[in-house]
Amino acid sequence: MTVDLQPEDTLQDALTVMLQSSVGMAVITDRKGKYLGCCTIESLAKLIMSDR
Amino acid sequence: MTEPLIRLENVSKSYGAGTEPAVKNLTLEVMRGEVLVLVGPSGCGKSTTLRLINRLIEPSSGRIILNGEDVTKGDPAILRRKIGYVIQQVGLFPHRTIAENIATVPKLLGWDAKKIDARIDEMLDLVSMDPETYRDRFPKELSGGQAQRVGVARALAADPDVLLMDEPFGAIDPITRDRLQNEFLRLQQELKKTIVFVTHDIDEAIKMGNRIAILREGSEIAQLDTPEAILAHPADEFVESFLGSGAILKGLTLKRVRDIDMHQVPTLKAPVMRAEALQELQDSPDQVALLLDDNDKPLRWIDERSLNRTAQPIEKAVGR
Repeated sequence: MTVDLQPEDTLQDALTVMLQSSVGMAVITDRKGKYLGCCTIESLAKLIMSDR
Repeated sequence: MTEPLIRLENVSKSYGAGTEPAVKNLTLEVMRGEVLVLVGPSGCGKSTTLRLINRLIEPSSGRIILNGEDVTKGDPAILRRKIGYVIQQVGLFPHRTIAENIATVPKLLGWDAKKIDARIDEMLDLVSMDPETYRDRFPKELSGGQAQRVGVARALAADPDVLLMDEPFGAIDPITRDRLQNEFLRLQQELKKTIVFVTHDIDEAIKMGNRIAILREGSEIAQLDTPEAILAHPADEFVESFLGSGAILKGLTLKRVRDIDMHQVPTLKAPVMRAEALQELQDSPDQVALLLDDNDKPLRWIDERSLNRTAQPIEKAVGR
């Protein structure tokens, strides 16, 4: 089973899910639960660094 | 968000001679369609400020302008029907059904029964509660999270321009609170109400607010700005200490999953032969693949270890 994120969830939610994930990634789905893509630590770090 | 819908002009509230005013000479604008969060330590006057706006408390001096009109004059009961109000204790009427609770203000405004009935269902749908299941229940039959959803539905029932929320998620467990906050943000994207939101929790303020007013004692504004600007440039030591440590982590609540560059992993439709799954993993830079059902819903992660653990023959399907 995967714990899914939705596009409206915060990156803090994403971090929480990723830290609990066996593969270090979080699955992103749309509101109907359909797979959209994944959130990785790298994509998170890239976004944070873009603001610095 | 360009024009103020609410303006407090030099507003003060004192409870008697010789006592420090609860609100001291406060001037504040709330822009149309924004969520302005008032945050500060206990006793700083943030809830008092909120109650001054709908005149649950009368100001000692100053003016409060709502939509160009001075609301310190006129009938406060009529004013309150135009302003939604959500509080921590929810305040549902215990002997009225959920439908009757939601119908409170529309009834006071003289809506006809058919319109009220339709509105009850619409509001329950809006807060993700099935009307058929919940409309005839009583508040004691709801969980804390469900009661708070009904509180929001009731506040929105008469479609007010302004919503005042006083620690609305304060008495709810952290997991439900997080879910309600996310639902509320989704709702606000759709409804674009003008909201004044009170909390003592800076993390909640950062997550919920378009702008945040950090208040000291007497509702004195220590800093009023966007969450990003406050985190990046706290105005003084008081704001810095109120923010606490971990500004980067706090900043994560400001950004959404939709803002990141999504990463794609190989996907496999269940059921898939183990041989095919192993081949896919060998070609995957992440060494993982995601197993999806017929509707593209994720089932589980697959990696080499999990495939080997099953100790099934290579011809056996995965995900059956």
